[in-house]
Amino acid sequence: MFIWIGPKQKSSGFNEDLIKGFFRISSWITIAITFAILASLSYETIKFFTLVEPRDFFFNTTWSPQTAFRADSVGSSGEFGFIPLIWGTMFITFLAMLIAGPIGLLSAIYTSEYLKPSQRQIVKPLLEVLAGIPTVVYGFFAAIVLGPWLREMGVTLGLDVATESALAAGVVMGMMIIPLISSITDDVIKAVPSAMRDGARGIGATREETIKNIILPAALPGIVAGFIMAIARAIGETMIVVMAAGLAANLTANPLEAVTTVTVQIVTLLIGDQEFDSAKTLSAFALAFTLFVITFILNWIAYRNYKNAINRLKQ
Amino acid sequence: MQSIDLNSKLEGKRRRLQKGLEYACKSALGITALMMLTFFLALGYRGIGAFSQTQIEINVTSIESSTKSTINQSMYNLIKEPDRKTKKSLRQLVTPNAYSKIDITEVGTYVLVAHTDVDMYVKGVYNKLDEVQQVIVDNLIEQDKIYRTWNWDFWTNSDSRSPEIAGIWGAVVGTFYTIGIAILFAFPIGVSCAVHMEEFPQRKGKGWKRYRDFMEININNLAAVPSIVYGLLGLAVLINFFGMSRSISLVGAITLGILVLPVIVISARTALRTVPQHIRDASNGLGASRLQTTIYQVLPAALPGIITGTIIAIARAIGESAPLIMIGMVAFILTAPSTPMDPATTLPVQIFLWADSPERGFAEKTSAAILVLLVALVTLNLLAIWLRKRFEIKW
Repeated sequence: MFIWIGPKQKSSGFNEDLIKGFFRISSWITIAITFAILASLSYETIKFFTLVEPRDFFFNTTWSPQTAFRADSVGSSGEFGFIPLIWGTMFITFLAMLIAGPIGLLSAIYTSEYLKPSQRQIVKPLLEVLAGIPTVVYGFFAAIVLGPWLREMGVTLGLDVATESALAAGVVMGMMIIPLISSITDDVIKAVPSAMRDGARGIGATREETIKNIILPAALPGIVAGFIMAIARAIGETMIVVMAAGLAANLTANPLEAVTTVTVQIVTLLIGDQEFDSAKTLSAFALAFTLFVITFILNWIAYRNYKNAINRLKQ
Repeated sequence: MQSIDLNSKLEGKRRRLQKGLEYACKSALGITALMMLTFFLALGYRGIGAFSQTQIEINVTSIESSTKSTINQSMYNLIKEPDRKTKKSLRQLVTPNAYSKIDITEVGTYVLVAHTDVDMYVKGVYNKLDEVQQVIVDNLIEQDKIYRTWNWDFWTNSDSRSPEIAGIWGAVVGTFYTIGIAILFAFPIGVSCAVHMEEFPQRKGKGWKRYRDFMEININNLAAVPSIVYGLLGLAVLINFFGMSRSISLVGAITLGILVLPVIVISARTALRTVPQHIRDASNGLGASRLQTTIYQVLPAALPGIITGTIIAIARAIGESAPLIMIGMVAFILTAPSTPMDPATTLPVQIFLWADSPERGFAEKTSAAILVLLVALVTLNLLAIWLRKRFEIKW
């Protein structure tokens, strides 16, 4: 018996197509998830904007979503000004980057340029493990340990520190993103071709001069991408700020006072029972949609930069 | 001609800069280590107490109408002729739930769990006992009738209003249901999505390239979406649109599964990419179809990497709490869930609930639950690192 073998010959019956179909459908599921996120968030957001003017949402500086029970009482409509929330988010993110930026960068330089490969093999997994600590744990640390401690320190220094100060949340969020920044930066620095390093050392540059003049400029686009990713992560971070930052919307630049963030408000608005027709509940979806758009743009920029940087270095 | 002394040391400004950068880098790593050390020590110091429990030994000399009054009567016997106020102080030495767990029908010596105030007094955390209680407790400690033992209740009980008998069992079971189901559907879908993207190159052409770029951006974006957005997705789609009930582990599992899906896809793709092309070429050359090549050659070779990535994804899912709070898994759960359709909570959410509780006795339980969670996560991560080292194939 002979079988004709050719390019069109199927090797094994119909289930080949079935399994391939399963692969294809699985990957379409991920696209469906993106569309589900977009659809559900924008649907509720549009419903929200029929109740509240978009102009009020984006430019008002007061946030007080509590709607009164009686329609004619004062403040019955609630005010949905987005500015203080995004300000609080940016402020805490800024404080976090102030701590995590330099420390993460310098640690990455140390692990990639100074450590021996054997030591690196120990330090790198340790940093990876740190990156895996749940944020609720950091939140507990900020709220129960660091917050009261900063407050006591403020009392001895004669400063008035709020228990839920922006500083405590910022510092702990910084601790959280140090492993993230150092791990990405380390990867980028490692991708710098060793020919560049050896060339610089060969003509007599010191280690410091090599790092400052050769390696960092070469790795800069990748490092910037890593920083943007870290910022996006900090903006979307929830548990630390829910536990350690305040609830009152506050337009202040004082790190010792309490501020609130977008994610804190989403959680406060949606915890407990909610009805899906009040502006209060729907505003959480509008906030989440804004958050989604901001992090999407940041990540997209970061991802493109990172990819270009790595590709250019690998050439 | 100028000669260079190869043995000369760096001097002056260059040397200072050189050393300066090295020390700056070293101290940055040192600060990270110090911060983390403070972090773990603070948690350990606070949490270690919760692993022991204070217990009171009581002598039952007479059986009353109910276990509750039997216990109360034997507490009154500690002092000669107590008045009303003293009686109340005496009653409050044992946990208010003592009589529900133990049935006293015979005269003898029984061991009861002490009230959280006594517990905290014995552990030296704070002192909220009144004078009578303090004298009695000191007395009983001297007689060895109040002592600390290993706290089994912390492991076998679920949440409770009384910190002294609250435990993590319910949360642990909830975590198993939630994460188990999440991985059960996220793993096959994630791996097949990765296989589709890596192993089955679509036809050439501008449209197909755009499709591939779109898939790529889509996956990377999904991996970076803040976790709270997934919680809102679960709330809007699963609970509001499909009408599933709040707080059950199935909803939490679907939400977390969606959350870890991109993580699994990305790690599986990386693992598939490390399998060299010549393996595929050889298999194809022997007449295997692309699917057979994938299933019999590429996937087994990439499996260690895929499993490692999945374990890291599991660790990520176990620690996640924000999306679960959004879909209402913050309920007060008194008994461990028995099916995935029961209201449940997970360990991180339990930590969040206890951390929010005004009762001070919960502070130490919170830290202890965190220690349990961290040990579990570190074990998972180390397992992943070990697997990577052990089964990694060097081509």
